[in-house]
Amino acid sequence: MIALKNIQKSYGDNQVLRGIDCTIPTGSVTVIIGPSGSGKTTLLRGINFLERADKGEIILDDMQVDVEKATKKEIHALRQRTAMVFQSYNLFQNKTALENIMEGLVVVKKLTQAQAKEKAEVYLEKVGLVEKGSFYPTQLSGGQQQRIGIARALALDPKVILFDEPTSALDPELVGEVLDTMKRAAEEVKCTMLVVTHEIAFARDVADQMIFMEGGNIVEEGRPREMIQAPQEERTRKFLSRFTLQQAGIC
Amino acid sequence: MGNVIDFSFALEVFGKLIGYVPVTLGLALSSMFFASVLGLAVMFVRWRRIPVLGQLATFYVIIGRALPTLIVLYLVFFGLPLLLLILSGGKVNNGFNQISPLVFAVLGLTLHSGAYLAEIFRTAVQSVNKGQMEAALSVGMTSWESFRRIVLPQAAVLALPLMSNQFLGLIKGTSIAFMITVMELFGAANVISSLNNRYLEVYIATAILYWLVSICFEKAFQMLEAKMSFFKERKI
Amino acid sequence: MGTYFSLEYMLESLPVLLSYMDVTILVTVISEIAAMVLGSAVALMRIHRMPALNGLCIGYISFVRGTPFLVQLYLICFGVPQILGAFGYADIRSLPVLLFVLMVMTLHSGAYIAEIMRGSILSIDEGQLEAACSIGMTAAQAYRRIVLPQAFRTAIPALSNEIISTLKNTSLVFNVGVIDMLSKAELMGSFSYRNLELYLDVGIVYIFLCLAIHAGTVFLEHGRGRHKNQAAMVTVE
Repeated sequence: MIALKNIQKSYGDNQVLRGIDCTIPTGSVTVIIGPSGSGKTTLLRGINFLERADKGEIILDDMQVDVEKATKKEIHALRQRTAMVFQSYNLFQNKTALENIMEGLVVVKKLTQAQAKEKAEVYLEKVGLVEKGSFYPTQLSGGQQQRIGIARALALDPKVILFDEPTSALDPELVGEVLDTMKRAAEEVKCTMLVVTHEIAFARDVADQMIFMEGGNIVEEGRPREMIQAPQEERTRKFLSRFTLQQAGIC
Repeated sequence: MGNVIDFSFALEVFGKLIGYVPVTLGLALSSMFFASVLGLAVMFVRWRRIPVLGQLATFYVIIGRALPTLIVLYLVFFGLPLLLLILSGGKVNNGFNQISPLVFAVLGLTLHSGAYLAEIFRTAVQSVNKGQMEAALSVGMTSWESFRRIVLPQAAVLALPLMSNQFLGLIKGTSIAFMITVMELFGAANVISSLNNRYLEVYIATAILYWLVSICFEKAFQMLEAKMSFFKERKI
Repeated sequence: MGTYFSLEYMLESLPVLLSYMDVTILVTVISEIAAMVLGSAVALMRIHRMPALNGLCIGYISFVRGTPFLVQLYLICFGVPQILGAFGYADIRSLPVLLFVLMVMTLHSGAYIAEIMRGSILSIDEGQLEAACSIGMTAAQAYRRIVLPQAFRTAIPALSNEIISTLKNTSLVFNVGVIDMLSKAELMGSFSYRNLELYLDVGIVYIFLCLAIHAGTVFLEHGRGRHKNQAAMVTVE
């Protein structure tokens, strides 16, 4: 279980997170949606301290971290228990696909090379890229890179994987393979996922919980199907209608 | 025209001067090694924004790049013995005689190149995509692990062209060491030319030797760069 | 400490040495202006792959970049008189050595500037040249009015580095008999035995000059940059 309590963050006078509270049960998938600038990416990056929030509390199972007073050690411990999938993949450019998955296993989990390799191959297979193990990131398509990024995160057995708009940088025809991989990760691996995305269809089909953020606040949260069909808040309805219209237009 | 250039003399000189190429290369290689260590340390201190040391490092980089190599050599040559004298309370006098000029030369060239290399390393580290560091942190590495295993190897590849440029400059820069009595290629050339009172042949031979050495290293570095940039090429 | 190092001597020598700074500046300015002209010409010859000249330019650049400045300096200052002497110009010693020095520095810097200018001209989008030609400019007009000004702007940082490098090379010309700050320092040092103080003085002057060039570059870039930013802001609004 991961819980956030009263997370606040400002850049100068600009308050981007105005006290966020939410709970993500173990093994569930939570999707955060919202217009750009709503603070959803900042929130996500605040959880593993890539950006440090000003105030609040992060609870990860038995760990409790006060954001304001977090020590280096706590931050490190938190990062060891979480993993992230980035919008721009951020695969280690100097490592092959397989080495990208092994890196954290060897350095952080202290597995031997052989153990790490064995485990990495398992996850390479889970994302369907066994034959690409020896390829460098620049030799892979965006979709393939992102699937490796997901394997890298999954292999660490994290308590939660943070997905930061994992399909936004992809060409439209490559979005499907990444969403499929994420869906399989949710269904087969049963890992806890917190996903910032614009893919409403993915939220509807896969997520257990949906959060709509705007202006640094959580405006509405609930079950995705219910929220999409009957949003309680006017702002949620407005935001979602734009998406459903768009998707209808495309389909 | 026959007496403008004495070819047999030129050839003879060429043979003699080849023997001094190792000195020049030794100077350049050892200075490059120490300067790289120094440059890395300075870059790291600035990168971590360590108080006092960081500002000192920035000051060094600015001054080191603004001073001509010769002045740095002179300051080391005249300053180091004085420093020894003061530190030893007047016991180690006349340091010029006790320290080989080669040591002064390596030290001076190291201090000079170190400032440039520190800046080269800093730019290289800065141009590694910020996401690389973030990704490394996100899988749970410490910032030192992330830096050493992910950022530094990529920065090294980015720095390679500039480093090789710096080294080529250093090979040429060693010629200044003759000013503090080091007998390297150019120093030997000066002795030979004034002994024989013939300049053109000697300096042409010297120039050709430096040129050949430079070209060899340039080609070697190009090959190395091609090899190292395996992950930069897009081969779809 | 006073017996080892005299701050007083250092301070009182500074004005004396400063009075020789004009040679340093003069040599830098003249050779750098000449080198800009030479370098730009060589760059254009290489870009347009002029037969014979292109090969010559490649050889020239490779030689200058492959050999130390000191060797080039000695080669010309001592070698050329030997050639002239062989052809019967016995009184070449009467030619001012400064002339040789300016020649070496121009040739040296010219090669580096040629590479800088070639790089920056090539970095200008080909569309600029095409657009200029499309509105009826001749190639020469297009280069002079559109391409070269832009190329010069991108080249400013590299050119500034090159000027600084030339400035620093002037510290070596006293070797061939030009009277500058360093030769004066050497002379004074042979009487006072306080070389360190004198070289520190010269070092300070060089640092000051380098920082001045750097500041000038930043100002030049910033001035032009502001112009650009304003344009960008207008479009945003």
